[in-house]
Amino acid sequence: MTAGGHDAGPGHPIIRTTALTKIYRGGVRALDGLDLAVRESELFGFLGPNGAGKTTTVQLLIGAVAPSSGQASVLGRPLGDREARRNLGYLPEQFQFPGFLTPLSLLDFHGRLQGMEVADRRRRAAELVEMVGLRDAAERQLKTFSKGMLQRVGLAQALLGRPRLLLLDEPTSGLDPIGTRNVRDLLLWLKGEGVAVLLNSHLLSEVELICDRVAIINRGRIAAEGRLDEILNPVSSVRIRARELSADGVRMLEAITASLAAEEGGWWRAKLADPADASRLAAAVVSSGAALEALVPTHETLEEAFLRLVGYEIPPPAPPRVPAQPATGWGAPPANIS
Amino acid sequence: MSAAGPAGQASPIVGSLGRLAAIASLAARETLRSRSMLIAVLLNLGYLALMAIVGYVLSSDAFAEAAGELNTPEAREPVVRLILLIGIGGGSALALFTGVFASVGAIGNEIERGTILAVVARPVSRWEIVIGKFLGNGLLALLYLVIQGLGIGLVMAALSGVWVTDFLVALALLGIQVLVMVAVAVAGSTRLSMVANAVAVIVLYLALTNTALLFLLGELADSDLLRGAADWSRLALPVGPVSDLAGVVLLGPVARMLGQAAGADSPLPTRDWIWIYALVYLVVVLVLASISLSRRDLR
Repeated sequence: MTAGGHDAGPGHPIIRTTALTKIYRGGVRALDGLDLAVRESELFGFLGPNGAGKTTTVQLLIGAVAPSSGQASVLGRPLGDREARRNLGYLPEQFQFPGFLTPLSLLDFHGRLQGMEVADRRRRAAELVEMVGLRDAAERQLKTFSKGMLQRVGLAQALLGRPRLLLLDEPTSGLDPIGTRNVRDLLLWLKGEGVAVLLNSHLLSEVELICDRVAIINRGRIAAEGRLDEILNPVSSVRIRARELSADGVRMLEAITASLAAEEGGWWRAKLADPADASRLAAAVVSSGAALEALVPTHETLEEAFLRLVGYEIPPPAPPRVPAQPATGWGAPPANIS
Repeated sequence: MSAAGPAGQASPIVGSLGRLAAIASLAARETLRSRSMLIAVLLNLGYLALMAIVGYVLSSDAFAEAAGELNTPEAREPVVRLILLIGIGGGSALALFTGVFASVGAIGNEIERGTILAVVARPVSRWEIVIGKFLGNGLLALLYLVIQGLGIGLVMAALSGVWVTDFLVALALLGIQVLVMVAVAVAGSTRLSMVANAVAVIVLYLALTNTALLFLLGELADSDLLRGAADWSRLALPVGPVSDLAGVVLLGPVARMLGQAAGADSPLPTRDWIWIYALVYLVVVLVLASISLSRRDLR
């Protein structure tokens, strides 16, 4: 894993930022030396808490906002370059438009801005309304659309110019599960077509499912960037089931783990500071005289990694408790556990 | 279908003209659907009706009898010219404020709502946005003025039997006046919110088109400084002088005879070149507006 590093790998950077900084009027530092690299044909998740600088980054990439310092290129060209914009598609978080337009007239307007010829933009608009499932509503005014339908129109708009790079800000916002699934399939299909996607989403499970790499931004800086397996702690916790685990045994486990909590069914969950502690934990159970029935390593989720990397203080787990009436063969309840 | 790859692109100049046309057309369509445009159209119709009534009364039999032997086309022409001046003067004010109110939020509103983001992500230059908005709202206001002006001119010609060719020149001058104000409003909208821009434009308009009072004060005080300030300050927003020139053109040789007719006998001097100055002024305002928009963050 690199913290903002531009490690070598297949595909050239299609977005590259170096020490990119944006200070708004009033001294608000939205970006503070952002280093980022997104490669061709890559589905890249861009995550961060509210106010971390995600939207500012995207607005810099499309040229809507000028950087205060630092360097950046999009599709090999400087920020705001017209040729670069010709080859990118952008879906704002809240796609706005005049309500009297229809999907087809909106796409026609954007096609004209894109410089597309009449026949091409008509053909492309028809293709896209079909693709996003709005063929039957293609001539209806947008003001009559639901939020999910509007989001589909926004996606069609972003895909209009056959972009090499897509910048999507919360593309599944307002979509139902079927719509969300369709967007996911669409993004995977686009990746297969060679399109790079910068996906800004709060749906971490969605990002986890489809993204090749992710960057987590916090307070204007990259907290982590890399493949999921590079970012997620390989083994962050284990679930243990041990027969006849005594109070002393519990204390031994506590000494090894970052935290220990009893769960239903005689299970314990131990958070590990170091993945290597899993084997020490197994040894401790055995040496305490208990019988180790199961030890299941649990991988860190993207949400857990996200919270860890943005410095969110996860409330400590409830203190370990031992069943008052252990099941037969499960040993006596340990005393004085706090 | 392929997602990546070159789209069927128009040539750069055609593409730029296409973008200008797209932005202008959308701006005009948005304005046409606004409530303020509905009010403007109603005012327009009311004003046309009023002018038709005035024209009818002044060309009625009673008027003809009162005029007696003077009731010839030549004798009626000064009156027709005066009615036309009043008619298109009022009409141009309606067109001017229609254009201004459509334009004061033209860009500022889009920035506030975020609608501009999807536009600037396209290969669109900031100047194309400014000029597109100006063309959309400016041409709409101009169309409003032309329909109203020609309506008044044709009604008067039908009622009086007198067609005044100078009337078209005056109408063109008033068109320049309208376009200048629309350009100023669009320029203001690159930096100000809709309300702040509306206040700024109206204050500017009222202050710089009513300098005759300052001039009269200069006359009373016999101050060349005040007289000069009243005269030259009008160049900061040359709509008043252009309007005065339209008055002089329309009233022509009968201006002196009509005395204090609107715009014909302003205490401030009129300048024949002011319309050229106004056109240059308009271009400079649009260039400055483009620079202003290109130097600001759109958030």
